[in-house]
Amino acid sequence: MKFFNRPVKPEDTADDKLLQSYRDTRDLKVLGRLYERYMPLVYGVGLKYLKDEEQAQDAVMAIFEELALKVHQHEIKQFRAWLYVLSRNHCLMQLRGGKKLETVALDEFMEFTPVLHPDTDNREEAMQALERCLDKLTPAQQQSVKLFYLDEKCYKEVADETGFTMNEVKSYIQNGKRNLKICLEKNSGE
Amino acid sequence: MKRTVENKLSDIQQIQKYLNGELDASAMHILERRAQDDPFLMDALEGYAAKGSDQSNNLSSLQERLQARTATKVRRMTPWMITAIAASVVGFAVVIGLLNNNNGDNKQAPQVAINEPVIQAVPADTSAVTIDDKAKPVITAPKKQAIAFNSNRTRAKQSAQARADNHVPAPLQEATTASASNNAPSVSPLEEMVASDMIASKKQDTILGGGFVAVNKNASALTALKSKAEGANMTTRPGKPTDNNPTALANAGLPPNLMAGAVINRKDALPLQDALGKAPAQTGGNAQANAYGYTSPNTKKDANVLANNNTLGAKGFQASDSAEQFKGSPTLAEVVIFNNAAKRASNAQPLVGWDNYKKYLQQNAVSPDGNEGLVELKATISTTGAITAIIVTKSLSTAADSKAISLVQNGPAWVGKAGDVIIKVEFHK
Repeated sequence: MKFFNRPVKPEDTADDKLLQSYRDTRDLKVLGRLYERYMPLVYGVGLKYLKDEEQAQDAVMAIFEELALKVHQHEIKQFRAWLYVLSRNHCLMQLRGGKKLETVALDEFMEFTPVLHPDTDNREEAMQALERCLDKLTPAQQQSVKLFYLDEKCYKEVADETGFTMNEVKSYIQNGKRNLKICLEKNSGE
Repeated sequence: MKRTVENKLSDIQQIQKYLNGELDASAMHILERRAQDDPFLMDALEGYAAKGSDQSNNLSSLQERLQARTATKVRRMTPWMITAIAASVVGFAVVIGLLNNNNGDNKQAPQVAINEPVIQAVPADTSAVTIDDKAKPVITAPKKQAIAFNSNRTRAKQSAQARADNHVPAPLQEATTASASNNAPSVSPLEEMVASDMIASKKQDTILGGGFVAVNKNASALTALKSKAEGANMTTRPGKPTDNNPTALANAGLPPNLMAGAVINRKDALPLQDALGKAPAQTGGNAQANAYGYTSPNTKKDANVLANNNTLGAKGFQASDSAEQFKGSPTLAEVVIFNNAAKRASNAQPLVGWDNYKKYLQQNAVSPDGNEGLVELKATISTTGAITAIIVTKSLSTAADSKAISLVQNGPAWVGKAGDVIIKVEFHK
């Protein structure tokens, strides 16, 4: 039931190695190899925000240029997360005509892994807290989150079962998850 | 909750399959779960989903662009490196060229004909005696402090600080020492030192730095020293001091003095200021002239010119500069040592050989004005391989003539004995 655990992925270390290698050698090919892994994702992000294939492709290349410079300026702990923020900021900047709005500062980039359970010894207690918080969600969110996380169903199945649209399911799950997180944080703080 | 590495590594394939509906429910769930934990993936998924169409073409074109981009850096550097190398080579060549240009005295085999400023359009016979014309007035004008090994000791004494030593050395030691000195470079011009009146043909001049010291390598008939210089130190001459005729010398068991020296400017044949000239002639048929102290920065070393003078059996003379002797007096600028030896047989030839030289001419003899035909030149080659004069013996047109002259001037270097060569340039279109 570790909903929010995000295990260390094997490629993270490989990322770090490539990154370090690029920092040492400044060989763009190394960075290119690293970036290649994430290019589909970056492109997807570009598609999402810019909604145009050409623009998204240009953004992918521009982000690479930005990356090549900023890699030297920032300390990067998690390349994947950092790259995401970089990519999103780039797209947002473009959308807003270069106005710096709502972009996340790269250095204080998010921990997008949800809060970990305080400790495993209190597992029972944590479960109870989770149950409590789940109950506080709206019925739609509760239903979606339960189906998705507990029953491990995919969006489509959830949608089929609940009669919501796919997008509704997605947003219920996202919002439900966020609310859960807030609730759990409050609980652990109490 | 299992999450395999494969899932992670093939994001795009999974995404693609997910979007195409090719995944089963649990695989979809896994991807969706990951997306929930990973806003990056979430955004990307949304982006692809919103577009709907297959993006694999765009992705592969992106991949190419990225590869081009990362490879470009390398490619871009190469032209710069080549450019830099080319620039250095050109720079180096220019420097070498300039150095060679300045070092007219470079004795190494010249790759290009040496051109002297005097030459062009001067008839051969007058150019050969250019030096003489200019040197003679100096020699004959005592006021210019010409120093010579002539006899007139009274004049030498008149010179403020001149000394005349009359110590008679052992026989067969130095026959004559004429010291002309100058120390103050600021002083008035001097001038020339002539040890004898023998005049060499210009072809036998040896060029040194800015001025030249000319030494005839071929001794000729005995000739008496005639000129003299004020301030000259006359020593060790057997017989009467004024005695400089070959007979007297021969009677004294000494060979005659055959050398004269003057240091003059190579360009205008005028005496150089501030130059020290020293031209000792030594026994054994060798006369050695040292010229040093040139102001030309390129001439750092003493330039030694050896003149083989078979008939100059004695020690010859020494003309030296010593600073103390002539403070404030006009300075000895150049030494020209020459005599009127017979010209050598002319067998000057191009460094590259006649065949190649003809080829060179043929290739370059493109008529400048459309006139086809023959231009015949007579070029005078010096012992150093320099072209000292070119005259047109058969003209075609003004443009063709000057082109022919420049072809020869800028063409391959010359070697061999000094002399005139006839060069025919056949112009074609």
